[in-house]
Amino acid sequence: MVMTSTSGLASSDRASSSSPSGPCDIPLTEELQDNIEKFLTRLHHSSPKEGSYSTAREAALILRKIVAVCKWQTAKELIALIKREGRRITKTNPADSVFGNIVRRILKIIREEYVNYSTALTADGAVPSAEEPDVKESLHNMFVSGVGRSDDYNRRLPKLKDTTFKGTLLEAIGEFLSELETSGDNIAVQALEHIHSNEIILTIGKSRTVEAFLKHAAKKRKFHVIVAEAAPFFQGHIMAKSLAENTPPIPTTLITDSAIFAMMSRVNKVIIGTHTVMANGGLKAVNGSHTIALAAKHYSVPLIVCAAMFKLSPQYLGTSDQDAFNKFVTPEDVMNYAEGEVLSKVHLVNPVFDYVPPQLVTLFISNIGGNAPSYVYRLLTELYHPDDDDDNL
Amino acid sequence: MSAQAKKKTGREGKEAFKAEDVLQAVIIADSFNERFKPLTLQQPRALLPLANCPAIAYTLEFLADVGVHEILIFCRVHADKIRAYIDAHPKWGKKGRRHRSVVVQVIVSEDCYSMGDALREIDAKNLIRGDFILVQGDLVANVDLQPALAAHRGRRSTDKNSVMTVVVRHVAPRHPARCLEDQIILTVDSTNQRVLHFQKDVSHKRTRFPVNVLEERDAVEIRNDLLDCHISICSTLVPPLFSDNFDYLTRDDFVRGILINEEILGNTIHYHVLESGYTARISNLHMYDLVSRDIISRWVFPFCPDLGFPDGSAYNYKRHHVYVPRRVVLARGAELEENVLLGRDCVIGNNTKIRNSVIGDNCKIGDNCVIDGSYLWDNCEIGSKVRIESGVLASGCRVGDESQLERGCVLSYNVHIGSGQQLRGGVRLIGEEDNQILVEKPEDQDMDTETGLDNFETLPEDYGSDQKLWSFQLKPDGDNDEDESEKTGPDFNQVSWNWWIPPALELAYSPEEESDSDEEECEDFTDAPALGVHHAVGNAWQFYLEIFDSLMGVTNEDVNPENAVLEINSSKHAYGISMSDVNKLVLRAVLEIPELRGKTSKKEFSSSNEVHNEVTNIVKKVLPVFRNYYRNAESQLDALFSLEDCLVNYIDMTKHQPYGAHLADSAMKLFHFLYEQDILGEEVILKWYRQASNKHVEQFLPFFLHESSSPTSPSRRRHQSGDLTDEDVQSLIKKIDALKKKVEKFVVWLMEAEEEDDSDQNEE
Repeated sequence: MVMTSTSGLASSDRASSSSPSGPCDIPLTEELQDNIEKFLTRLHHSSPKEGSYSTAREAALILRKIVAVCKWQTAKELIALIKREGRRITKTNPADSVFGNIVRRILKIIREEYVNYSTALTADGAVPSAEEPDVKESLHNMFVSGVGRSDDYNRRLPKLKDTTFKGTLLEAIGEFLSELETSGDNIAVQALEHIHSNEIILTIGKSRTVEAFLKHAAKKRKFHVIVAEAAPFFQGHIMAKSLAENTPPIPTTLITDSAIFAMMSRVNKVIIGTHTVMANGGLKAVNGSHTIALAAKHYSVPLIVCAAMFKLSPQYLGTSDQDAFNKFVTPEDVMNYAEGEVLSKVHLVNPVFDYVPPQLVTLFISNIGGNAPSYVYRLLTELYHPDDDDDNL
Repeated sequence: MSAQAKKKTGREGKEAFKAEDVLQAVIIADSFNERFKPLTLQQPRALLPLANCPAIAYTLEFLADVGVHEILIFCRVHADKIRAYIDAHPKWGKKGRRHRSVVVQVIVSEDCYSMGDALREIDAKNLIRGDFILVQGDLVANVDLQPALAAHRGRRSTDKNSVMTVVVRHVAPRHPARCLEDQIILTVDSTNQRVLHFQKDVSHKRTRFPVNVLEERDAVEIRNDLLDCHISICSTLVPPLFSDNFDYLTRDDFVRGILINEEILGNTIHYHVLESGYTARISNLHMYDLVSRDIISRWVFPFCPDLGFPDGSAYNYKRHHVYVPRRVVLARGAELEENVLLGRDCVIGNNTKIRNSVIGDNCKIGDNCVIDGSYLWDNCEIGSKVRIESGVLASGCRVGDESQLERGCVLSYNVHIGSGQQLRGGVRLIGEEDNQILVEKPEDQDMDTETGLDNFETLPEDYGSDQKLWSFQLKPDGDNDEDESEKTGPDFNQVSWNWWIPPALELAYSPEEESDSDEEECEDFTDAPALGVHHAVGNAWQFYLEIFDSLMGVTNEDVNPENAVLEINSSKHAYGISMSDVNKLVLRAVLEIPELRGKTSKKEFSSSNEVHNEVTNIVKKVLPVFRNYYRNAESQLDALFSLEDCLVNYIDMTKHQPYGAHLADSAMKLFHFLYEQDILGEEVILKWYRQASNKHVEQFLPFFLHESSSPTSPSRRRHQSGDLTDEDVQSLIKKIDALKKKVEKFVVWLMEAEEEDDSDQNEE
């Protein structure tokens, strides 16, 4: 069961009265429609082997296009429109939280820009400061979310000098996109702080972020990497090859997942990527991560998770029942369909993810620096608006 | 899948399209057969719910994923329903606001009775602009076709004669997805993926291919590990080729035809093997069952019920492949054991167990039921303590308390069953509406295959229902002009679920059981034991029918005797018949042919002369066959025993009167004739004559001994082998003695001749 954290004091009257998620009937253009459909198809078929960065980037591009192309009048309409499309896409792919994260980030950007823009308008004197509430993003406001959020984003914002609200909005989304693009590099540059000479690093599967992280460190330091293969997708094979072929080459050992515990005693640090960082600091990471995390805990090896900020999700695991949380793909990877008669006699299950509880994680390295799992809640409130949780999406 | 192809944004894509770049697909949304009857009386097969989603939705999604831009749905029966479905569909319909890149067009043709007709019509309407994918409306697949398409296009660019690429999936020969119908054997050139020979074989264990495929080739593969995906990538030439050849009914006809005319027309067919992915057609109930289960066990990922297919994520996926929607009422003790898909708004009673089943929307199931391997469509109501095993209940069915449905029941739409009823396995019931359709149809349409008229019978039934019920039974597939090859195979209209799975491999027999050594046989197969072994009898009977058919063909002069020999030899291995029994059965068949012919032409045999003439005529025609089988003394002796068996048993069998009696009368002439034709050697005859009569009995084919089976009355087979009483044996011996007496003259003459020969030689 996956639930969404409603950070702050969620008051019921907010959800009922001022929630700007009313029905929306702004049509999408045909081309956008087509783009979304293609994106959906690809999302549908995305194998566990593909990273989430491309999904995130594409989602942001699509949302930017919606902002740019569709005929919305007020921020409220825009929010409703984006929520509508976001809901439609997340519905068909509930296990993939990245898209939802991006939608929430964009919504947050819209809200922020609205506030900034209207403040600028009032400052400029273009509009009378009718009932301009105190909407500064103070720490206090983050937690007392019900107060001071009576703004319904319903005002039409006129042109300010030579910019429009839409223009500033697109600019802000553009900034977000470039943040996405540089997030991998921003994480990688921190590598030297974490990887020291002659260390033995264990990782699992293939994560673009971890790959860049290790390669960055390899420019300065000599260290050894052990890669668990991450069956049944065997992304570890590709990872190991890539590391070994790096210039300068990184000494790499490829092991099976079952050898993780045996190897752990000699490992200095575990560095893994993740698909999602949950609200409580837990991980939704590739199958086998939990094994690694438990083994690392047993041997008191620090577990470092490289994750860009867009992987931060307001969802958390409600129960230990992983069925609704996980993504189950075709059992083809476990056993070929060609095998024949035995298939009807066995259950083949092929989950993609593992849940790693936060107490097993030592440190998160994101593009804005290192954080402990206990700090994730704070990041969440910075990144997402409490009105944009799953139920309202 | 094909990320690159799809990464183009719409505008770029549109500009890049030239006319021939548009990838089209043709869905034949009519099965042209009746296997799903009576379920297809009100709904076309393409719209039957498969895991609570119309079958054609899978096909459309699959094609859209492949990157098809234009889909033509070709339908005939229930065309209005398919059209309505497409129009109302949010994704494909006219009002739909998605998938603008895919255009779906429904084409209706009233007078098309096969896939061939459909393609001829498509040719006439000139709808095809480039390469297209040809599938049927009940295809479920998630395979990646891009490599196959690329390979096809690559070939087309260099070789314009490559007309079709047949897509096959690599699976083990005994895979459950390969139902009997889909057994194919491909002979291919492994260097260039060209198909050299295509055999769709249902019963034989042996494959045949023309020798010339081996000529001038470096590598030829004969593959039995391929599953026909029923996906064909066709070039623009395919519809005109169908138009040119009016006898092509199916894709298989087309493939065969192209291969036969390969040298004349120069057209070639290629194949593409997929190593991963899922593909299957719900071509019959067995496949319906199998595909449903595969969907539930996620083989068809991403088309899984919990992943928003078909309409949003209404289902939660739970352990043991259980899918439960949000709105459902499960009583406390209800158990969804494994592989269950539950529809919306279902109510499941206390202590009810459900496994391996799909339950439609809005179903109500009472307490203490057991539902296993069954498919309940929408709005079914099941009472308490009901037991349903491997059944299909169409929408709106009701089953009263404490009823039991045995394996393979099919209840059509709105059939109500009362309380405490017991349904035999394989019963198909229809209600008022279906019956109405059946009764009314003759006026509208006189020729109809999907809602066919001539091929079934209905009988009023009761089953404690509050409404009228009829049982529905398809007649055995007699008058259908289906493939020759299917005639001898199993009856594809049979209801049973397990019919479709190839029979389990028979255990290899130990060599010492081999009944006789046959030098001619060059195969290293181990021969099956003689027919005396009990379990072989059913096989032998089937085998006999096949021989009979082959030889009948020879006598009607439409089969080359050599081909007949090949046929017999191949079925010999298929049924595991020993050489000695083959020898006996061949002769037996030849002797029964005149009788059957007489019966069909209503001719009475009035004298033994007439019978003799008839028999000799037939024998003359099948002489090459005889020559092939009766080459040495041993086989001739087999023939002789079989002849004796017939002559002795025909005499007093009412069934064979008067033919049998006349035949027996002409026994001596027959012996003489066969001797003259060099079928029976004189030593053989003499050896036979001298052997004690009770030894002869042992040589008879046990399953013919009793007033037994023949093509004219197969149902009368009462006994199986090995239960001869002493009395029977005694009477047989007496008859044999009588027969020996009849031919005594001839034998004496033979002996004299031999002595003369001997003495001649001596003198010399």
